[in-house]
Amino acid sequence: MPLNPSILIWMALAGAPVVIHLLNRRRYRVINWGAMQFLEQSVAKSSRRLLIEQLLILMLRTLLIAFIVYAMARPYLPGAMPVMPAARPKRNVVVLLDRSMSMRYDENRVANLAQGKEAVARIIGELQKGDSLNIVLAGGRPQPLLKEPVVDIEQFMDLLREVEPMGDEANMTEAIKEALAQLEKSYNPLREIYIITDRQAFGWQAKTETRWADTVESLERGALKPTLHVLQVGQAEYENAAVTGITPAHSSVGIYQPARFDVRITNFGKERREKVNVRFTTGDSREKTTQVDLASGGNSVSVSFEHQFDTPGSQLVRVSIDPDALPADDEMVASVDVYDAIPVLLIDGTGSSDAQTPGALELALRPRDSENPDFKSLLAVQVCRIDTMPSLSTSKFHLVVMHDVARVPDRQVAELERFVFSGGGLLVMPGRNSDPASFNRYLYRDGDGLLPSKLEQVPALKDPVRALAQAFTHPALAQFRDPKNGDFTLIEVYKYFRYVDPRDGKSRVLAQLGNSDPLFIEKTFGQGRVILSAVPVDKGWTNLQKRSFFLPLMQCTAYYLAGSVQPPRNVLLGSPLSLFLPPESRSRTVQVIDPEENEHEVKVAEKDGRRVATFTDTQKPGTYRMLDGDGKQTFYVVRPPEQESNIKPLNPDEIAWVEKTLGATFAKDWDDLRVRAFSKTRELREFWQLLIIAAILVLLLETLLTGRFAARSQRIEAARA
Amino acid sequence: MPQTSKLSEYLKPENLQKLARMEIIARLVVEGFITGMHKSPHRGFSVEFAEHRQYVPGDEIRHINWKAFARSDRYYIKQYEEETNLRGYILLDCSASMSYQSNGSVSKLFYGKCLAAALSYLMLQQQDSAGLITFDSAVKTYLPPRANPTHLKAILHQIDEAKIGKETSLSNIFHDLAERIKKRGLIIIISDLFDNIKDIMSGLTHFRHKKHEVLIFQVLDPDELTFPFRSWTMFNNLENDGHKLLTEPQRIRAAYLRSLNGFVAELRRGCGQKRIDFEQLNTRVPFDTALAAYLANRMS
Repeated sequence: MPLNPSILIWMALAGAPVVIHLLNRRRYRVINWGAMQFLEQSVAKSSRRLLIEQLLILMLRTLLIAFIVYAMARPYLPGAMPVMPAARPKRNVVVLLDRSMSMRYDENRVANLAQGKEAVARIIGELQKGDSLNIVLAGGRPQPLLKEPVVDIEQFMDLLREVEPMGDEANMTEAIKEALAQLEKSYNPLREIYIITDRQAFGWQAKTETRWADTVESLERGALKPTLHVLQVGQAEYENAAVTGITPAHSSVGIYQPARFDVRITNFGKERREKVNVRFTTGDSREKTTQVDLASGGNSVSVSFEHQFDTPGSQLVRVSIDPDALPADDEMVASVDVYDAIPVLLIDGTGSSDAQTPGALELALRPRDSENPDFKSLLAVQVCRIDTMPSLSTSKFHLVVMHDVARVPDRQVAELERFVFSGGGLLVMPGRNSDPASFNRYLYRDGDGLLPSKLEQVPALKDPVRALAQAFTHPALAQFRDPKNGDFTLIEVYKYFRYVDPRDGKSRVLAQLGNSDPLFIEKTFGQGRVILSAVPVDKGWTNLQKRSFFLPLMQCTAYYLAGSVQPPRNVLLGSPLSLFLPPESRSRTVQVIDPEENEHEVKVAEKDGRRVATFTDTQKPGTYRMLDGDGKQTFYVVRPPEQESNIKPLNPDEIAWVEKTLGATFAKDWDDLRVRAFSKTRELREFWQLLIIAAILVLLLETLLTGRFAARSQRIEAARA
Repeated sequence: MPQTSKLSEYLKPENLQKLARMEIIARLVVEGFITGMHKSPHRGFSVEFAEHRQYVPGDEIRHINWKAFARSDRYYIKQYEEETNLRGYILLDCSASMSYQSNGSVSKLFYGKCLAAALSYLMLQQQDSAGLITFDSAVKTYLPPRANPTHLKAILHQIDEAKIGKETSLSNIFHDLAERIKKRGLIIIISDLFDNIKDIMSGLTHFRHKKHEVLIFQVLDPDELTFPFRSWTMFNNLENDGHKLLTEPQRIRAAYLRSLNGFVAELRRGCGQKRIDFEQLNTRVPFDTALAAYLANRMS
């Protein structure tokens, strides 16, 4: 393959003489001729000669174009050629500089990135006049410093100084692909990629063939396979602990209520760390501190902090530990939406004959404190019947609870589906009034509807069946992992709806009965979530409402389901940030302030019947703020993946794999790299000059022959004259 | 002489094309040619004085030269050389190939018609008898030669009527005519002679064998003589429908010219051997060349 293979497309032009010849043959004139006998004799005599002449001329013209196009594609031969003058082949160099978060590591007061920059400067120093260079920054989305490689390499020194570390991982597969793309842009024959990195295993993902397949293919596809050199900066051993998670106990946090945050601290180093201070702060409170001991080798410790918010709205929670060599991950921030009320619509289908039981569910959602008349429940419950259901939107209600509803008319089904799809929560508790056939037909819809499963009513049991106590992992039930908070085995069920778990991946069983039938089953529908209960709040079906944990169970479930109304506030690097605006808002744009206090403006768009502002440029980790037209501020936190804190370098096995798969060589240090890469030069000769000479010769020959063939006719005419 | 130069203009074929009547064409051609010669063709040909001889009884009294009697007091009779009345047969080829006409020229047939008209006019003017035969693959019309000046009309009428016919078959025609024409005379052939050279020569030999004088005017178009075509061309055979040839003319030009020139040279040589006068005429060449050739033949 030549150095500039894309030019070879023009090789099609080589067919042009033949095409022109054929076109000419088609565009002939017609003459009625008398002296046919002489014409026939001459054609008969000359046809063979004519054919040879034509073929010869066509061949020469085709060859001429082919030579020129091939010369432009810059072909080469490995090794030296005796006929060509021996000139040093020019280098086409791309330096891939890792600037992932781990490159901030600075145990010896010199950050890895600074060492990396120094290595790049040394490589620049080794390059010579005519060599081309570009630098690709690996970390986040791979980014070349200049659009294309240049031979004026001095300008990189200034650009290099301004390179800052990113908070993201260095995705080596993507970065090498970008480096290859840059190599394609320069025509210098000696292709070389230098990777300057801390060799963090996470960025390389060695031994994952599928992830590397594309990159390896790109490497092989190139005209000239480039040589890859990897130079490690920093040390082989790292010590690092990081805050790796802040999770609120409930998806929705209310004011004046104790909110618990579970914080995870992980020690990625090899040494145990003791008495590490963990500090918890929010915008409106004093710092809370605790101490933990951290076991080594990637072990995590969880600590919980409790906090009561006094003001509603978007709030930041900040957790930090004692700083180490990589301070970037020693602090983590989380954004929390604090509500003063969560609007809930309770659609109750229970008849008036038994007024007590529906009251139990409503009370569980909106408890009253007889001793404290000022107590206000976070859930603001509005009760209605299915036929008087108001229009639903996530700005009016965060959650809809359907209890013992007989059947759902078409209009309401569509309304409910729209509501859940756009992020609303739905708790369905069919009961004695419910018609399973209607539910299956309109709400389950063969798996396309809201319900996670088909309903099948089980006749009254002789012996009650009890719920199972499980190690609940689901956020709605996580509290009941500890039986002290509520023992599920105390739940007795006398009659229930059997849900056949369809195992289609869309639904998930949250709790089970003793006979393995699901008690609660969940499905994600669009942005929202639906939980289906096997029993209603009905004393003829279960004793659930009599249990002390009935109220927290209902509250936790309601908080969880209401939590999907807003888009996520804490996202990974590169994920978009979304803000839902209330329908009454008139704002056409939303202001976004990024972690470096740069302001951006985002247009509000209509999406799924909602007004949404989406900001996508989240390549920098940190806290973003979105301000709508009414001045309301919402915090977003963009985080790097937690594995980036694990600076474990590639092990020898992984290095061997990379060396074999990519044909890369790992240099021990700069001197090793210099010997490998710069002390000897690969032999390679281009021969486009020879092709141009050949083309000129062909052109001369063609002119000569055309003239000669034409002259033959003229000579005869002259002789005749 | 303005009149002469005007008449000479009519010797150019392209100008004659504008004239409708063959008679005028013939007259213009011959008069124009003769004026240019400054010498009347009437003298010296038709009635030639030979000698005086003594009168013997039985001679016609009207032939007695009374002036000589006055001088010598003897009866002398003026004796004239007997008029060798020339019988001219003009053979006009009307085959399809004669219809070819390049830009700026007249068709070979039109050229041939003019030539035939002029020649017959000239012959009849000189008291010779002239006949006309038109043919393609067979004889189409046959007007036997007559010396009567009114015969010119009949000839010119036939010339006017002559239309392009089918392919040529010169050999058969020549053999046929050689048998049909009993009295020896001058055979003038006006044709492009596009046929097999051996057949042509055998036909011509037959004429000579019958003691005919033969004069050939080979009429060719400038295109046929120079083959000036360049781009790809489809040549349709005029004499054979459906016979076509697609070629790049400039590439075979040399071979074509070689073939044509070879043909003409062989024809010329064959004619020379058989003492046949051969004149090649280009349709752009004025007719005086042809007439001069004819007169030269008559003088010999």
